[in-house]
Amino acid sequence: MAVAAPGQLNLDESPSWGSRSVDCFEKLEQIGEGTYGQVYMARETKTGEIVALKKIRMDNEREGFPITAIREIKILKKLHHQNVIQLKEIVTSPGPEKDEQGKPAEGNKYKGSIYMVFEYMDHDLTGLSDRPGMRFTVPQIKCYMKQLLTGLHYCHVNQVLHRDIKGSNLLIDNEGNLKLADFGLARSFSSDHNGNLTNRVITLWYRPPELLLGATKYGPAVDMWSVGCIFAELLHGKPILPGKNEPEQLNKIYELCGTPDEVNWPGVTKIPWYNNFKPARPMKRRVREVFKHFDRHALDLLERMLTLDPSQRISAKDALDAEYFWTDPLPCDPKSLPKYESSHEFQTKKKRQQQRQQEETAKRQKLQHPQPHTRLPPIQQTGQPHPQIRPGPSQPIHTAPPPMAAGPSHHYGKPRGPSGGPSRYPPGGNPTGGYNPTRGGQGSGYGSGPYQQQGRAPPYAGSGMPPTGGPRGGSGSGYGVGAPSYPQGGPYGASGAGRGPNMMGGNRNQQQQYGGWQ
Amino acid sequence: MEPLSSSSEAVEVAMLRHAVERLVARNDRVWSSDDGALAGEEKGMAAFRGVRVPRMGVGEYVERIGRYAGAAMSPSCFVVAFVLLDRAAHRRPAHPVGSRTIHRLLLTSLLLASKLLDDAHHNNAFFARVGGVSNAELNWLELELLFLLDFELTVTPRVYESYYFHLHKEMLASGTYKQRITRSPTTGNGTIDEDGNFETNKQKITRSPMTNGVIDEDGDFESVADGRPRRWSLSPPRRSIDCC
Repeated sequence: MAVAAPGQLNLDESPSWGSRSVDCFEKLEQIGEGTYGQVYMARETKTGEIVALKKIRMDNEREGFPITAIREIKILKKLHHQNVIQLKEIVTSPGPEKDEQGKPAEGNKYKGSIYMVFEYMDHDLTGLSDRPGMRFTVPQIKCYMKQLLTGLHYCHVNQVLHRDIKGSNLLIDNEGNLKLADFGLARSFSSDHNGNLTNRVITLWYRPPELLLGATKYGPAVDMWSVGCIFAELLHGKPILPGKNEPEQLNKIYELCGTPDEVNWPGVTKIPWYNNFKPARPMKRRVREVFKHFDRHALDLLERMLTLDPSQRISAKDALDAEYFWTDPLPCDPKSLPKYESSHEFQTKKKRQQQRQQEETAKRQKLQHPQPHTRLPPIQQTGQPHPQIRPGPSQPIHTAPPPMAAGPSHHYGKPRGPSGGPSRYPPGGNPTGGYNPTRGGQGSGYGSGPYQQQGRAPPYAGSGMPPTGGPRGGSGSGYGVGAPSYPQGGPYGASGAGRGPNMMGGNRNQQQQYGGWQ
Repeated sequence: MEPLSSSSEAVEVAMLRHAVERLVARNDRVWSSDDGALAGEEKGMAAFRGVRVPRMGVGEYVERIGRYAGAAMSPSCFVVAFVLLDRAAHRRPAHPVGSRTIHRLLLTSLLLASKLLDDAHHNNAFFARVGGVSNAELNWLELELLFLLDFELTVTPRVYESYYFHLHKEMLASGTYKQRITRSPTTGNGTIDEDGNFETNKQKITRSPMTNGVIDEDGDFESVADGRPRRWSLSPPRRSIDCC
């Protein structure tokens, strides 16, 4: 009617978003807190499905609907992949004002709140790895890394830069699936890189050198640097580049990766702030030295991720082809991973606070009654397939039940040995239902998208038993995985919610990040 | 009044101006009054309808927004805004976009387009002031438009391009604007890529657009003594807005 439409539009006839009320869900528990507002675990009353409700904070009148939410919704509406969080719908809560019939007063639909409904995920990577005593096995790390890269590759071929890859934005469910979340800083990019993009993105510890040097033309390589930081963190046991501010961050990068020059990074001297941050003296690259305890293939891959020159940095696609993922121990089947009691950074932080208080109390008591040997014993290096539980008498300090304590709906009979095959975690054990892990490389979630499957054989074929004889869930831990260095209070600084500053425009400069659900 | 730009920067503004002027003229002819049978309906398209036709014509209105907000907006926002506006119109085929509806719909579409495309963008308060509505009303309209569009905000390169040429055609057909467009829609201020969205790459504008000091010859709507648009308003909405 109105205008001759040059393109055919509006073909979808699905019920429109926002037509349902949040009353269709029963809030169970708060699992996050951030710039957006609270995040809740909730149950859909009709179906019983567990979801996450992320409240969109609308209280900044001058800004209106938050730009991060607009962009996140827009991008998630077009991404459909098993390693990208699924946005199911938008629901509204009617405002408190009702008319005489008890119906929401006309036009006051938005007086209340607006929620994004996501599929529920049990953990985020930071929350999971911050669990006291948590150590990942090599096949587990490979499994997470592979999923992270697969999801990111999908984003990149769909021309989306995530721009905030970090542990708390990588969500993990109890089926072992990892999904990218929090696309509030994401944006589309064009492959010809002629854009002027803001460089105030990515949480500081995961921010690549080109952004710190002020580049405004950049591409998918920025996300790959962050992936490298996470990879090293998983293997090393703590964040590898915890800078306090931007100059210090760059300096930490220089100390680890060497100083950039026209030889190792052609064009670096022309990047806007290169001269402001010119290193005082040239430094040598020390990645192999610092991480010499990593195995060879891990180190090779890490070297290519933490490459200073973004144009030489490995792409997600090539990283998936790296030897690391194709040599023993192979990445395990996500389903073979142990299930853990739910953990989100939000909750682990809360727990740690309680823990600190208890420690304070204990310390005071100790002063009065000194006790011998109160330090935690070191983590056993071998023999435990999933040594998440720190053995020893220190457990009582930890207020949460041990991770492997079976919740009511959990099905693992034996807490050891992931090689039991498909029967260990019966399909019925999936609390959210409906998720079918894509096996054998049958990419299904994204229909006609341009996403290309990787050419090589599936990492975990069929029943989760790779030809080499099954995931080495347990036996692989002879590697120096997960240095036993999770101090109380942790490398994630229980005090600082946002792990380093991160801002875009003026919209996101609060310290509290809405990581994942938050 | 000639478009503020004969400079190529604002071709998009001029194109949008002509397109909406023609659109409204057409729709006003078809529906003699654009409330018709829709009285009582307050949601969706009806939310954008004022009690009477605003004094300022829609062409001037586009210019006004272009003048005050345009400097911080990618020119492609004006095309994307038209895409959103058209998409909204198609979602409510029974609701005509006439001269009583177009102002608010246009303002809200431009606001959304800017938020989608520009990393540095003006906030709702600014757009409200330029557009002559209250901050609260614009916030409410923004939500109405988002839900009306079912959050379908992606504008693919193909769609962008087809709308761009449609707008161009409309402008030529209006006969008042003879300037040929030599610049390709894909160059200059944004890029169209194979599969992703149309994206602009506007970076920070340091100069405040409100300090332009452009003097409106009509002297009617804004004073530039302090470089800020004087408050004025569209005709009031059909009901009082007190939400958000």
